[in-house]
Amino acid sequence: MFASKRLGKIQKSLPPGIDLVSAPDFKEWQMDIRVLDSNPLYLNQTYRLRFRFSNNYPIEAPEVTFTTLTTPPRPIPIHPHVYSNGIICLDLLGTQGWSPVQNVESVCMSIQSMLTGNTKNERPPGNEEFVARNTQRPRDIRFVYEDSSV
Amino acid sequence: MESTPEQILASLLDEADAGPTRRRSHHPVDLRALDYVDSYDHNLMCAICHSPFVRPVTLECEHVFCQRCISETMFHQGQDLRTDSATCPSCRRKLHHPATTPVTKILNQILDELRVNCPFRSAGCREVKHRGQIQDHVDKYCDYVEVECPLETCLLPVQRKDIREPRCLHGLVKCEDCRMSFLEKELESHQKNHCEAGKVSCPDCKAQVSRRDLAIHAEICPEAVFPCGAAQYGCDFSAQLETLLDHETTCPLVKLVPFLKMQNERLVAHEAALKHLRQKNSILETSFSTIQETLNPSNNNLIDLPSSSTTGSDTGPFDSTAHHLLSLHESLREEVNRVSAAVEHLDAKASMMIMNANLTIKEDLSHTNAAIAGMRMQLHWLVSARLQNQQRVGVVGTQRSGERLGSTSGNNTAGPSGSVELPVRRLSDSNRQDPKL
Repeated sequence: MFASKRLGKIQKSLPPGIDLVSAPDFKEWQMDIRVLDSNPLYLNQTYRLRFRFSNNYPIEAPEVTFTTLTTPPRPIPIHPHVYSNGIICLDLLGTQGWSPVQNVESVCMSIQSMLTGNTKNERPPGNEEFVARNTQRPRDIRFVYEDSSV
Repeated sequence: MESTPEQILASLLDEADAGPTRRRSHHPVDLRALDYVDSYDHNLMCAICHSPFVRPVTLECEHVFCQRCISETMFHQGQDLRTDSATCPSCRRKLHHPATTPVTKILNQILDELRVNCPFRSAGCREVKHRGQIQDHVDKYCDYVEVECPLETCLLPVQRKDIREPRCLHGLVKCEDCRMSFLEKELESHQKNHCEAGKVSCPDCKAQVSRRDLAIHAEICPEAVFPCGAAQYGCDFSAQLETLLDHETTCPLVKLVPFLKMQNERLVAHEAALKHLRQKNSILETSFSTIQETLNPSNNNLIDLPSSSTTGSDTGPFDSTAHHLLSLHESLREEVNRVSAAVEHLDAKASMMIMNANLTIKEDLSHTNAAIAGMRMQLHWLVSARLQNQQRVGVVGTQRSGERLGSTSGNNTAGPSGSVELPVRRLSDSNRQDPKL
């Protein structure tokens, strides 16, 4: 479909701090992001993002999570909106917040700026409980956006 | 809203497809999935499908999307464009007005003029068309679109290029080389690309080539030895293709090849023309000699006649005589022409003279006629005068003197005078019809 064509376009140019790691097909992509300024929380760290696209992309939001790797080291960033299993609480990625005019590039930039603006070195409230019992797809989780300042 | 989501989606999609120019087709082309050849302004790109707009519509907030993109988005969000709950994907503004409005025609025209590759490019179609024409191309002209088999009972599809002859290509045929069975429409590609048994090795480069392609391969085989392109004009160089190419850039004979070829062609054409002329000539000569024999057995006078043949001098005595005869014939014809012209001239002159003479004679004749009429009148007058005189002599008798009567009779041409003359004149006047007749 035309969505695959659209995904194909991104490989041409990416903004600084965002790199395409692998895009074997139009189902799942891996991206690396870095924070560009000198925020001490994320300094010299690179994080791996996994995008999963449904057949309805871009009408439907992609599923975006952080993943961990040992080589090269890719931890999950500490952030009040990022659970320790990599699930990101960002309205942009939910059914309500998603808009089809978004793309991989703009999602990466949103996450990048979300990390950049953060000063709290903490996980979201109720992290352990959520990680232990969650079986839902990230997209379907109805987050309560407690704090819109970060 | 009682309708199911499927119905809504179907109706929305129908709306998007039902343009006035769109035709029903087995292969509706999704214009958003096309491969665009032209580069286009990024402002013409739909933010949802990242393709140039297809049937673009404007929202209340003046953001523009493809109709189908915005319909699908709204439907997916559980929002229908026809309700008030819709938001714009770009600015998230609430859309109060239910409907979208189409954009100006000129924008659609610009979009429809973008050139795209045929969607069946992967099947082999190399056409590049304006986007507005691509549906028409796929519906009617594209050779690589799969259409129904010409055999009505056969349900398998076949590419349009294969139905030139209306026959089903879905029968099984055997490849002559590997003895495997294939559908007839696939046989060609099998033999060309896949059949191993049909491969033969090229005698020069040992490469495995399909037997059918051997002739084509032989012409481009890198190992085979070819003669120089000017071999027939005397260059005896021959080598493998690569060396030959170098040689042919320097070989002087190769440069002459086009010229020599042209000369050869001209030579052949001239020979043919010459042969034709020879035949014509011999026919003319035989016929002329027959004429000559019947008219004049001796050929002596031919030599005396002026011979204008200058070209005949270098083609031998045979041709010269023929030319001579021809020129003789020609001069005779001229002579005849001249004589006939002179005759015509004379004829005209003579008829002119006759006409002139005729005119004078006619004039004379009319003069004579007039004179005769005058004389006739006079005669008439004289006769009537004489008659009156005689009557008067009878009535008056002795009253008149004898001398008077005598003078009247003696002067008969001058006419009577005095009281006698007047009544006579009146009579003659009233009888004027006579000379007129």
